Amino acid sequence: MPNILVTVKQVVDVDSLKIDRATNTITTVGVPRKMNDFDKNALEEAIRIREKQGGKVVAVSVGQQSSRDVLKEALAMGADEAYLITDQSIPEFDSRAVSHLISKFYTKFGPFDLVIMGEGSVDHFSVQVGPRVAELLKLPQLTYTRRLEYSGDSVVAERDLEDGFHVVRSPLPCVVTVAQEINQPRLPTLKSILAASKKPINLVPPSQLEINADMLQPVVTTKTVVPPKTERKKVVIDGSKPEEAVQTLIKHLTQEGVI
Amino acid sequence: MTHRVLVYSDSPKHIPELLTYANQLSEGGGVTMVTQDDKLVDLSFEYGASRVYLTEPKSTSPYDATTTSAAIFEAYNKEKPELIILSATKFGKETSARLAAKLDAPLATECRSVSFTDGRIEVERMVFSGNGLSTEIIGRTPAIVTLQSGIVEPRKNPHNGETEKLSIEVKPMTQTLEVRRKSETSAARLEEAERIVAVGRGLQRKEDLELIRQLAEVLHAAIGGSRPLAADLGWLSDDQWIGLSGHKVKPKLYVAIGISGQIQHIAGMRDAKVVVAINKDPNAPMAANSDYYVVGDLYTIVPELIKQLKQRV
Ligand SMILES: Cc1cc2nc3c(=O)[nH]c(=O)nc-3n(C[C@H](O)[C@H](O)[C@H](O)COP(=O)(O)OP(=O)(O)OC[C@H]3O[C@@H](n4cnc5c(N)ncnc54)[C@H](O)[C@@H]3O)c2cc1C
Repeated sequence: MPNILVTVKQVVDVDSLKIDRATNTITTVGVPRKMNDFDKNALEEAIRIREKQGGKVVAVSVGQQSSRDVLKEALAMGADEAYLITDQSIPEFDSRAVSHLISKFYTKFGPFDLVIMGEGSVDHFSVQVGPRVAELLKLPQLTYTRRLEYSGDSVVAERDLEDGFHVVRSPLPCVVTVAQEINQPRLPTLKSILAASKKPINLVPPSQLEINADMLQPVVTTKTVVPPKTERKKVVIDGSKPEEAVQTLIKHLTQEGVI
Repeated sequence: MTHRVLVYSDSPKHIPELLTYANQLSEGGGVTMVTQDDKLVDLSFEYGASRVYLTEPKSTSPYDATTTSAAIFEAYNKEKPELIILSATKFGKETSARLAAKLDAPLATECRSVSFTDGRIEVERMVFSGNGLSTEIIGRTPAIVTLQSGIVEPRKNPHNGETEKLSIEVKPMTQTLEVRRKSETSAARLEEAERIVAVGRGLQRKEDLELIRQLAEVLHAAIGGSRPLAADLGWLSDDQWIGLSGHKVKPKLYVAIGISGQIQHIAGMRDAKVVVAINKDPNAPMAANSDYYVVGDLYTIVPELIKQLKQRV
């Protein structure tokens, strides 16, 4: 019966970002937060495996205290246990630090048979935590997975790569990162939300893991985030008279030299 | 200041760009190449590699990040470069991250630019699902970056360098059972297409794709779509969508038909030169992301467009 570790991250709702007009930079202060979309797919996949095979789904998050919310949601979806790795003195962990923390957590709280993660997170989309954790733990990695079959001692993943779909078998344990096509994540029910509210969120300070200070030292830092420049002409053509509208359009496109 | 740069690629499509960019960054410090394919050695010298490491045995399992990152790691140990560059393909990204953990090094993926500024490495990349352009500082070396394609015009720069064999002992940890190649109509075609007709949920029935096909034909365009049309409805082949989680395209002409223009879609076509949209909603987000926005029913506008384009030729 597999013991499955799933990582979940709290991210800003990228549709509700604000622009600070004075500096023309994007601010995330006061922006609502939610569970990273891809992590819901990771959880769903883990829960489906447990429903068939038994075992346990452990959700872990690295972040601020507010990340309790996404762990509550993970429990409501069906995770069995939830852990938050947090340190108030460190406001932000970069991908390298997060990878160190997760792999140390794996070692301390394991053994696990499978680690399932989202292929990326919608905030920074640096798609590196999965493979980094795999390497730190010397485990195989199956990234961009859109179908997964678990069979006791191995998994078979269908991976979506540039040139084609690769069907790959890996021994266990291994690290799988999933794409959104893999499943449709379930919505928690009222009952499951209530049940989840009774379960604990276990806090794990980094000091409880075998972490040294350098591992948490940020090595990539954000200087500024500005709204991307899209200088579009925004010419609106009224299509109520299709013939004229298309004539106008073709005239413009001819001038642009694109047809 | 000169810098030592190491480049990995196994793609003849990406090598010219990667090496051109690496040479600009190195300012004469020397660019070393790692590849697993002996057929790419000459191309590498042609575009300015001063040395090529060729792995041995030639990788029997393409797309294996474990063995590939081990090969780059070996080359790193011989060269000790400040910067390692890979292309920001899916395979490039997973390999770069595995390598980053081996070196315990910083990594910035999908960079649009990289520079050495005041003794530090600065990169630009898109964040927040395409809502933000972020400038990030990499605090230590060696650093690893993966580069988006299309950020530099490849320039030949022939070198007479040496080739060195690099023997890799590491075995793949996984076994590839099957590879189903993607159809020619989708993946490669989209990213290289000069014109793209993209269609979204505004289309009512799968059969109506015929209309889109006809338009694509007169425009000599490739066909793509929004994610729901490809991934959820399955009306397009399932790798034919454009956006954050799909293909990033930069055609000269992008025609978005019945696509609302959510930020995740825009993230894939932001670099298109001219954007045309056909949408019956005058206020869809696509309007702010279009050069020419035709407000109308696609079922009347598209047939008229096909008709008039045919008359032109
Ligand atoms: C993490 C994440 C990643 C995502 N990645 C991607 C991605 O890579 N690519 C992507 O595309 N989406 C992606 N999405 C989904 C995205 O948010 C939108 O849901 C999607 O792009 C909407 O597709 P659409 O424009 O086809 O459909 P809709 O939003 O439903 O828009 C349909 C449009 O058609 C118009 N229309 C309807 N009928 C007609 C008609 N007869 N004539 C003319 N116009 C008509 C409507 O006015 C509307 O604007 C992602 C979402 C998430 C959360």
